[in-house]
Amino acid sequence: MIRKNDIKLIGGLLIVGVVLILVVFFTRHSGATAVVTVDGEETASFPLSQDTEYVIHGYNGGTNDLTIKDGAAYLTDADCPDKLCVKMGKIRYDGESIVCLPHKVVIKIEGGKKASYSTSSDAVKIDAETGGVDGGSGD
Amino acid sequence: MKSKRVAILGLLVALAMVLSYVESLVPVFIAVPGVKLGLTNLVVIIAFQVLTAKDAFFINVVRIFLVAFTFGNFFSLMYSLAGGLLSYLVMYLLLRSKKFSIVGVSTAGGVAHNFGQILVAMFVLNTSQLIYYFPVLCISGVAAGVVIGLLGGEIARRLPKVSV
Repeated sequence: MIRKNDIKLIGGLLIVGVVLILVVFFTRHSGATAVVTVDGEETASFPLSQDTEYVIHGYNGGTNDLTIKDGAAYLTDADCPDKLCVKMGKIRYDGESIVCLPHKVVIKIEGGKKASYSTSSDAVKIDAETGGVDGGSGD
Repeated sequence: MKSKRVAILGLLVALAMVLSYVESLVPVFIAVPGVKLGLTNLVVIIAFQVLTAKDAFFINVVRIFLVAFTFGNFFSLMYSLAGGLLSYLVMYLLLRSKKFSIVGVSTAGGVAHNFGQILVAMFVLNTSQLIYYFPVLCISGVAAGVVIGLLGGEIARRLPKVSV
């Protein structure tokens, strides 16, 4: 039933996938900043060099608890149905992202430019403006 | 003949809806959004073979709208439509070329589905970096497409060709 053309197609698509994964893997470099966007709008950004916790208020009133520790960003909890975003684990390389589709939240790592100190004061300011519940996240 | 057509298409739409629901019960085993088996595509693959391409299109689109209205919201409708329509288009063209078996057709459909969903996510979330998920979703689309294609081919082989 399977024809030669099928094998070529399947093999070709697999090779494309593997090659792209290798390209991404070997060209990646550590990022400097974790940028939070909700519904396409940037709402906060944090330097990866500074450990912090922040509650993201997503679309539809959902929340995702962001933690930055040891140079990596990850979500510790979320009130979306599948918690896929929590399972996505830690990100630290330029271009990596964590996505929570139900809350339209994207956390992406942006690169190289070292502006950790100025961004850090920005981040604190934004945190205060949006009423970030730093200590109230429960842990 | 008209009522037979309504009955058979209705049955297949219902089956596709049930499979959508069953698929939502399967726990997430890879932490990449969009990785899934595509059980619903089984119905479309079978419809391509035992019915016509037009019937397959009808079942696909009606299922997408019914599932989105019943369980989803506007955004889940956008994701499903992008994936469903792009994968239908690719499968239709490959079938018409007559160069591939249903396994190849289903595989290309699986990858096209995932690609369509990434495009919508990039647009909705305004984040071009989501294209980084494509390599993984390309491979998962191939795996799912091969399984669904083999399954759909075997099932269709055992069914009589229906004229409605």
